[in-house]
Formats: sequence, structure tokens, C-alpha cells
Amino acid sequence: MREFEYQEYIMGGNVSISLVVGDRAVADAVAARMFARARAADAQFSRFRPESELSLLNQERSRTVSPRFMELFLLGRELHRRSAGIFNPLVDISRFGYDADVRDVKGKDRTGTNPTIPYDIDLDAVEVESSGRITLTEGQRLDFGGFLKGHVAEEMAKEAEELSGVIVNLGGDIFTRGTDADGEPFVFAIDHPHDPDADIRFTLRDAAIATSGSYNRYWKYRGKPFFHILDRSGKHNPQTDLISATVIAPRGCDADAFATVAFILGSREGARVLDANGFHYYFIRKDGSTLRSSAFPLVCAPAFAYVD
Amino acid sequence: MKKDTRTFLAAVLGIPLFLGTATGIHAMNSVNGATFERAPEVSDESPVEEATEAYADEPEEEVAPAKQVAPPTPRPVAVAPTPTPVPTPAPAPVVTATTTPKPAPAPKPKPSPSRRTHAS
Repeated sequence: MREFEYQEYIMGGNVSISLVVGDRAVADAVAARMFARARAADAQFSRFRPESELSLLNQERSRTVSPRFMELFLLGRELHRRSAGIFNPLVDISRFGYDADVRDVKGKDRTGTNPTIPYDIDLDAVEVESSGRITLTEGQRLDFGGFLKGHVAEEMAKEAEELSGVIVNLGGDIFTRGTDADGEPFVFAIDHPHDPDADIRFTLRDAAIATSGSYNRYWKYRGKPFFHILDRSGKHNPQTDLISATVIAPRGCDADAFATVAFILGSREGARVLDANGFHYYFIRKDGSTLRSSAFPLVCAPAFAYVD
Repeated sequence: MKKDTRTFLAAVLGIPLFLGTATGIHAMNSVNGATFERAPEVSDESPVEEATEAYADEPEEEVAPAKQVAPPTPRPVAVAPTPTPVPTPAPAPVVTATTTPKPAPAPKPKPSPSRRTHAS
């Protein structure tokens, strides 16, 4: 067995793939299908592309959407309800300056949109018809960015089901299955925002990993520091004691969304919510201290795997 | 006459004589108060005749000869131990050894990009 690695820039970040298989030709073919999936998701759900289905709905406010779109919308609504409204696909970060690819935003001065424009984040006010039509209220704009990459990483990994092992990493959102070229569990690492020498490693198989933090996507909104996560009001960065929240969950969308939820809630309440959902977590606080779930699979522990 | 008897008579006869002489002188001085004559000195000779007969002294009791006393055995005296001279250790020979420094542990290789999670 050998491990083959691939990388492309898609969905506003680097997409890395590792495939464990004996034949490079097989790996190349699988990687091509996986990247195609990522590009298709970006084309359909990017809020930076005016022709994407998401942008069209936000512009038209009422539209019969594709089954795929409806699937994602319902998934976002489910996460909203399970998180007691903390996660919300209607919070609109573009109003505060994040209205372009992160490479054009990071560290820059941004003005955002006119604050007087109507702004509605009431997800229950969205009308969903059995015909597949979705109707938004004035001031509503959907954004699947809070769970899309985690979900797509999982879908991409399914393209490699016949391989011995696979890792998909969409800009930090990871889904893994199987083992490495030696038949051992994959070892992963959490990047520490302020300490590049910090060695936080853990083993995992057949699960998703996502990290939420304020240190990677930031800019100045009308002269004030701002980052890409909004609290449940949808108007402010959350007051949190965390700089990084890493979550392990069986589904990619769960890891992605609940990492954001934990970051918004802070270490104490975030840990409670994650414990209640059976997810594992590793928090890094602003004061440098850390907090992790009791079964978080650091390298000294056996590989962790969710059992269906 | 026994020795004690002579002592007794000298005391009995001598003391009144002495007192009478002294009282008389005092009385004369008290009466005329003009002159003072020194009282005649009392003769040193004892008025008591010395005994002519010799008496043998009472035999003295025989005294047992003094036992010979053994000289006291000197008690042992604690003596401070004489310090034993400690040989000064010879300076250890200087050995110049060439030690190969342990190679610093190789830094763990960074995980490949696909294995690293960060804020997305």
C-alpha cells in the first residue's frame, strides 16, 4: 500500500486529499472525482458567485430549488434546531465586510453593506413548500458556510470507499476513513494559533474533525477588528474565552457546525453542549489553557472510532 | 601531789589573791584620788610547793600498728582520642575524554497538510 497526496484551492481554502491504495492510477482517478465534487459544491453554494444557486435564491428571495439544495437547506435547519438557535444559516457575515474570497478580505479594511438594509435571521420565517420552493423574507440571506465544508468533506471521502484509507481536508475541515499505508490509524494534528511548536496530536478513523477559531479569517470592519463568526444576534463577534475549538463527530456537518457553536458559547457552555451530543473536543483558551473531552483520542490513547 | 591537785590549788588560792589585790588598789584610788600607785606585781612563782614525789604515769594503751594503706588506684581518665591522621587523597588523574555529544532529537516531522486541522 502507498499513500498518495493531492491538493487544490477550492471553496476559499486549500483542499488536501490523502489516498491509501496500491495503484497510483486508481488514486489519481479517485482524487479527480473528489475534487470535482468539491468544485461542484462551490459552484452551487458559493455566496461569492452571483450565478450560484444560493446567490440566485438570495437575490430572488423565492425560488424552486434543486433537490440537492433542499437537502442542504434542511440540514442547516436541523443543525439550527439542535443547537438551540446558536447555529444559524441566516446570519450574514457579508454585511460586515466578508463579501469576497478570504484572500481579498484577510487583514484588509472593509466597509460591508449599508447597515440600514433590512436584516432578518428568523429561520422559522422561511417558507418551505413541498414543491421545492423556498421563500425568504426581506432581509434574509442564506449562507451554508457554517457546515458546508464539513459536509462536502464527508461526501468526498465516500468517493474513495474502495480504498484502504482516505483523508479529505477542506481548509481545516477533515473527514477520514480507514488506515494509513502501514495499516495504522491516521495521526492528526491541531494547529495552535500562537505556538507553532505545540504538538497536539491524536488518532482517528471513520469520523470528522473541524476547528473553529478567530485567528484565520479576520479583517477590519469600519476600522475595528472583526472575524467571520457572529453570535446569535447575528450582529457581533461572540464574546468568548476561546481562540480555537476542535470537534470530532461522526458527521462532517456536525463537526463543522458544532465547532462554531462551541466557539460562540465559550469553553464551559460549549463543553456542556458537545458532551450532550456525544462529540469530542479540544479547546484552546485565550489564556493558553486547554480543555478537552475525557475520551479525546490524543496520541497516547487508542485510536478513536465512532461505531454506527 | 597529783598534777590536777596542783592545778586546783593554784586556781583556788591564786584567784582570790589576785582579786583582792586588784580590789585594794582600786579602793585606794577611789578614796584619795590623788595618787596612783601601781599595784605590786604578782609574783610569777606559784605559791604551791612542787611535789617532791614522783608518780609514775598511767600506762598508755597499746595502739595497734597502722595498717598499711594501699595507694589509691588511679581512676581512668578520659583522654581525647588522638586524631588519626587522614591521608590526603591524591588528586584524581585528569582524564581527557572525547565525548561524542548526543545528537539532538530529531524534530517530529510536521504532519502532511491533510492531517492538520485549523480554523476554517
